[in-house]
Amino acid sequence: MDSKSNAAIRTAEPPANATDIAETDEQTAKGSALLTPKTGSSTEAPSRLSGTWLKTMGPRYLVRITALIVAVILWELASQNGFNVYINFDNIPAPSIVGAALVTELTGSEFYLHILHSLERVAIAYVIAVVLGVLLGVAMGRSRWAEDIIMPYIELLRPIPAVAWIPLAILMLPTEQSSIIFITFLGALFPVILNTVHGVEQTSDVLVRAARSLGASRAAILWHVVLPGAMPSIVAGLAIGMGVAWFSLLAGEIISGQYGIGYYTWNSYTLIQYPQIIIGMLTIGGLGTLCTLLVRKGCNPLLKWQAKGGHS
Amino acid sequence: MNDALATDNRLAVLDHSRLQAKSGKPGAERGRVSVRDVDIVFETATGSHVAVQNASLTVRPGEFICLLGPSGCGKSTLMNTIAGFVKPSQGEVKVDGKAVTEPGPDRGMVFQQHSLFPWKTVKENVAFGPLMSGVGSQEANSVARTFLSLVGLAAFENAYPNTLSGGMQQRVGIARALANYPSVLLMDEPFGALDAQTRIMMQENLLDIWREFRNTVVFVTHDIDEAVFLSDRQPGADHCGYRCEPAPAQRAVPADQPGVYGAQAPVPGPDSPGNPQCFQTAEQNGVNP
Repeated sequence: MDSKSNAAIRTAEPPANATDIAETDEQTAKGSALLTPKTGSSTEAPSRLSGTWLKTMGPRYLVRITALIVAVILWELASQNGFNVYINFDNIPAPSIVGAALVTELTGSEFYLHILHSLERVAIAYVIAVVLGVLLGVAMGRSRWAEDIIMPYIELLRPIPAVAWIPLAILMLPTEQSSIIFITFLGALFPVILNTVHGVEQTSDVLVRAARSLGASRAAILWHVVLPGAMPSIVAGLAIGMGVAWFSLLAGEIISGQYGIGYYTWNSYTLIQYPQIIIGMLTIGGLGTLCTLLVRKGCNPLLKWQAKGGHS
Repeated sequence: MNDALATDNRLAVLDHSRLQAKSGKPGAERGRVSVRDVDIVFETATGSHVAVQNASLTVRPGEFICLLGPSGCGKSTLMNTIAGFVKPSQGEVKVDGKAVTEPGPDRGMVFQQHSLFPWKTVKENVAFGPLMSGVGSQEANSVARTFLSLVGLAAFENAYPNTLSGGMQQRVGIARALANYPSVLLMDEPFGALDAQTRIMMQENLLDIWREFRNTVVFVTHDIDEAVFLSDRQPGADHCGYRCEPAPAQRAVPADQPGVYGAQAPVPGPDSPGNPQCFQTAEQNGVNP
């Protein structure tokens, strides 16, 4: 009796739908449902993938690098020939001079200390901003009370530039280090909060209903439905927050202190060391880009479900 | 031969003690749904909107019934009341003698589409219910594998839903709802978004699964063919009839009649025979044998 009706389940699908490729796939898979899935295709997949990546993205990266090199060449020419048509390159050190200065900096140890101090500040500020930002964002996205209480502060404080916080940060906080971290933290906080709120508020009603009808508690819905659903938006907020953190760091390090890449840049300006200013600027840009890239890569496992294509 | 053996093994892992009593022992029956004089009124900015009026319905354990009616007639709302998502303004809804106050795993729900958790693999989706019921993740996974085999998707357990076709996704949805061994399976136009061929295939699969489980199924559809096909195939539907809800006097069949139920769109007006929103009885249509 059992086997008869079960056989009916397996043969219930008519072969008529051979036109539908996806469903045909499904049928073949169904036929081998009880066999171990073949592993051959999954092992050769990565190499084939990197091959196609090189083919499609290789030329594009070549163009990107060429674009940068062209800009450096134009800059070198403008500086050496004293280009001065509205924009004045007379006092701008040429890339060759900046490069020589960079080599000197890289052979010494002080430059690395500047970078290390900045990295430490960004790390501390960023971690606090992410934890607090995600918590507040989730609370605001889930509770109207929380949103009504917190939102006015965010709207009011968000447009204030980091530099404007310097006096208050010095007055309110005990040490220089904490003032700098506070300013960096503020920069990273707002994008994280706002993106989290946005993501949480986008939670699909159908998925919450599905979870409830499967017996999920409120906490389980938050963990299994709301947070994963908000994750793409949260990750975008984390990446933007990292960029803004570096952006704000410079403002914070104007407060001085002894080290920090922002301090280094500002100090070079007061000491009229032009090549060093450019080195400082580019270092901030490079580190910001690198950290943002790390955040995106680090969050990739949380978003792997978004990738289209192969099974497993 | 080999095939039959394999299918047998596949179903041997089903927890038969948790299935409906196939032997027909009355004591083990569950899945009785009783809807009594239910009104559902939504308060909107433009005033109150009557979605369901004076609805009564009894579904016996193990019965497969369809709620049939045009869009906006309140059939989904009525089902959402059984599911516990919507509270009735009047009347009461009971499942197995217990008043429904909130959604619960005893009433499995299959939605129209896009209801799988996209960040969970197929297996994780199906294992979610058992996991929420408190069993360990290993047992939840083995339950998930059992039900994925039942719907023929065992090979896709590690796939993410967005890599599956619409028909496959709905099968995962059915497996997920069944993995809690619900006494009632509520299906809200589950095949509405599928193409005609896949839909027919899914309807047959659903009936096969239902014959295995013998749990109560309440199936919402606006497709007359679908309703007739699904309820025709079940033994209890011999007296299947469409029913108009507006006034008790116009009920074509008694309230506790199993089979296909029609609901009328909440548009005030006379129920003339020409009113397309009011279905005639099946006997009049000649649908019934």
